Amino acid sequence: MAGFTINGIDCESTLKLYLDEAVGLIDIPPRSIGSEAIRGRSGRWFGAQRDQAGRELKWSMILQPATVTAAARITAEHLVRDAFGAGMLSIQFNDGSTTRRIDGVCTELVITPRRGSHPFLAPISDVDIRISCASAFWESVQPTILALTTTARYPIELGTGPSTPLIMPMGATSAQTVTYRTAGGDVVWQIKTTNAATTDYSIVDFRTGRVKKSASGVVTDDEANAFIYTVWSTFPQPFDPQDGDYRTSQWPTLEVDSGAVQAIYWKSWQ
Amino acid sequence: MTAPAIPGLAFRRQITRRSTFPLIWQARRATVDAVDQTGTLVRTTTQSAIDSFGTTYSCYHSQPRWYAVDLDGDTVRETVGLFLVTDYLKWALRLKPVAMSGLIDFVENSALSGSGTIFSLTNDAADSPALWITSTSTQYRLNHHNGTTQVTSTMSGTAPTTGDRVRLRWWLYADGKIQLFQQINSAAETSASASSANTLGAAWAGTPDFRLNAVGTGTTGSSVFLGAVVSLGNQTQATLMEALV
Repeated sequence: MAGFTINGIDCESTLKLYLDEAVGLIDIPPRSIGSEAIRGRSGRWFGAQRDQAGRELKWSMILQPATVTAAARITAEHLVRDAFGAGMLSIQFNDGSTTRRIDGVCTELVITPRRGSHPFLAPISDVDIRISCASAFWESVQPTILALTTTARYPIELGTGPSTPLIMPMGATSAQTVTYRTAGGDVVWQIKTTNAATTDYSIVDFRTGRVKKSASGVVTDDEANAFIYTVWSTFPQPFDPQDGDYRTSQWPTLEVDSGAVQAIYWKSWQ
Repeated sequence: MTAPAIPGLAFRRQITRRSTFPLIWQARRATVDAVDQTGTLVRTTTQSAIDSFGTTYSCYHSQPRWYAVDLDGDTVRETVGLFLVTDYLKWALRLKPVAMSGLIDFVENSALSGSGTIFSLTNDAADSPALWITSTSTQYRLNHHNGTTQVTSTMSGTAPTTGDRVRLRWWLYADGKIQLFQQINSAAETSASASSANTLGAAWAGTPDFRLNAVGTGTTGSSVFLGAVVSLGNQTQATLMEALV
């Protein structure tokens, strides 16, 4: 069922806050692309994306407590103010089929008792909320776990945005190379790690850019494997639906040349 | 005349929101750490788990067994839990015994027919005072031992079977009385009879940890855990579930 939660609190059933208009749910936040003019020629050369602003959510909502009295409305207003004013918010949005989440901070909350009646008597309020999010992308609530054991190329099912995975090569004592390719088979990046025992594993965290190693349950920073790219790329690289086609479910692939790999990632959505 | 204080210099409010409850752990974050607390997964053997596409894979020494399950019956393994059988996951929880409550969200494997261990709040040796859930072999039972006397609250009626999603909610009252509540597959929550009062101890035994799937370092159960929350006061299921959404 479609709806929003704020830090787990259901906006409709608990706060009695009903969405009237939502701006920013599926927008692409402003981004800048590196580019340079080409001397002596027309046009320009495009580089990588430089940065992208966080998502800005602007909601117009109606606050309508079950009890139609001014006192109930005032109590509900306090609940709404406290729910949204509590630091970093974890916002979940269900569009009727998929639940997605994003973290953000309420930068403005305006509560206006409905016009046409005395403000101290109005049973309904209009609530305008502005939330600045840390990320440009929504993220799936549940992670996806992809386990590979052969050299075959495994499709990586993604959302419409890039996902940063946690990759754990394991099960081999010689160097293991994990390869990420476009749907067409072009290598985008490769990482290589080495473990001393088949029961040891590396932990390559693309979210934080850190590499660790687990040996018999003892996890340590893995400086020896800190420079792990065999095909140079900027660390960390995401799993990106641009390397395939979301609309037709054409996905980039992941493979390992020996042993096994476990990848954990949260699908991301524009 | 005293100069007026300059507003805004006394503090700078951070936006980071830390843990809203004494313990919140969600498997969907794919970490053994709870909010603000480092978790410790104890297991030495290699065990298997199942990924989101139904593939069985190996998990080595102390590696979490993230196990994808299909909770809505559409053949898609959309939910990730932590499979604990011979292993357990613990966090330091040093709250003194007070009125408190908690909820464990899990998928029944075969815990109930075995030891039934879901959680414990005690030290490694499982001394008392302690609070824990095990089973009678047919029903889940909440136990509170204050160092002298033990009281229990036991579910009755329909018991969970393998594959059921179970939410066990527990209350420890200010007078030491306890009560267990159970929800199976999102049906209406049912409750066990509350125990008699049992004066709270001054502290939980030794250096107490909150442990999923074990009583102390001993008896373990068998479940796929989705989340756990511990709260001060006796909270409703709706309030506790807000922490796990």
